[in-house]
Amino acid sequence: MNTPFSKKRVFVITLGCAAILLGAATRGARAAIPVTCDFTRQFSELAEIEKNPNSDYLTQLRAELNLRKGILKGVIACALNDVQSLHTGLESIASSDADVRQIRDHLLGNLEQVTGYYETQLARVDDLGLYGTKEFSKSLSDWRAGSGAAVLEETTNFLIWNKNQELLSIAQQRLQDVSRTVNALKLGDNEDIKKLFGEAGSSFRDAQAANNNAKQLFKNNAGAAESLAAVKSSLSALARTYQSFFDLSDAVHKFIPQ
Amino acid sequence: MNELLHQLKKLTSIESDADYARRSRQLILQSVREPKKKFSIAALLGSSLQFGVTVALTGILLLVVLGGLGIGEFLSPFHLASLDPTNLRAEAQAIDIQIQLTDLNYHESLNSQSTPSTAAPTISSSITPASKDDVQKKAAELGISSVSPSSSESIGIDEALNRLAE
Repeated sequence: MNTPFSKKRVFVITLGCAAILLGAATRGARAAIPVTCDFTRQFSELAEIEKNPNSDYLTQLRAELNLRKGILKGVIACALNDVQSLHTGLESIASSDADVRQIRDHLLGNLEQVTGYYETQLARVDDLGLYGTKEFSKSLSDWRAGSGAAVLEETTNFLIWNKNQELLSIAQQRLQDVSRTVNALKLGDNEDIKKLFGEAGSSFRDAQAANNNAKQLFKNNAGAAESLAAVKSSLSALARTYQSFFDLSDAVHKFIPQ
Repeated sequence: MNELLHQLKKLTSIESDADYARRSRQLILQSVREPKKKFSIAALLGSSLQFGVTVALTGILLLVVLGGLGIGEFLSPFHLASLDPTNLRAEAQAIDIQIQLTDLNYHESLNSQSTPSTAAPTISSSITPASKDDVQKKAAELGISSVSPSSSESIGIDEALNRLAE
């Protein structure tokens, strides 16, 4: 017998399933937008319309408006695709470091907001008039150059920084191996080799310090420019470390009988 | 006294029992007989192997003493894997790719703003700089979409918005 309670349960379950299906359909719809990020052809068509005015002014206007709306939808689809790529890159980060996970989750939240903004703008396109497409384009362009770029650049910097951890770990192991080799060959007292090994160690410590600084900047939301500078500084120091390794290799090989 | 002498003379006629003598003789003769050697292939191979190993070990010893094998090379732990240029180059190139990633522009409005002074130095002539394809591939792996400046051949997102805003 259908009691009120069981009817309510059936209703809630049905509503839940509908929500899930709607979400899946929306994602499918998002994925179905063709992502072609070169709009040369569309602008060529737009130029053709403007060059060859139709005797029916309204027909011409309608054609131009439809083309503009098509370009705008394509632009937003490309932008969403870029955001989705970054989202996927962030989600793939699995770290035992709680700070890294916190930064990742914060950036994922930012990307969700950017996605929401683009989807809202996409929904407005069909209601635009000819003049509206111009205002809309200006507004979207300004937003991308400002808030949009800030989020994407910060996320990009973090993805690069995360990859750098692997390189730092390899360099650290390399430094330890070189130390063992130099000691085994009893070359630690050779002035040239001692100097080069010292330089390698010093550069590596600089790389680690800059790397840790970058992590703090990400954690404190210091901004894309600051975090990028720290990431570049770390990589620069790491590059100097490897230059020292190459020089050490040349120096040590002189002592090995051929 | 005569009795004693008579008794002593009787001792010269003492002899063992014939049967006992025969058994004793047999026992003595059997104990000095050498065991018969049976012919076997296993024994032949064993002795051949023993001889061969002896010769081989002697030969090796001679070679070692005379230094014919260059044994120093095999015993040396210093093949320097830690400073092998091939390994160093591979790792250095990975760093170079990361450096180039930091120099990519991710927004067309930044194309005119990039300054060489902010670019991190690449590792010097020790390595061949990573190709653009390698950098783009790494960017894609990380989920990074780089922006190519709009050119006469292509119109990207930001250029499209600028044109539509005119």
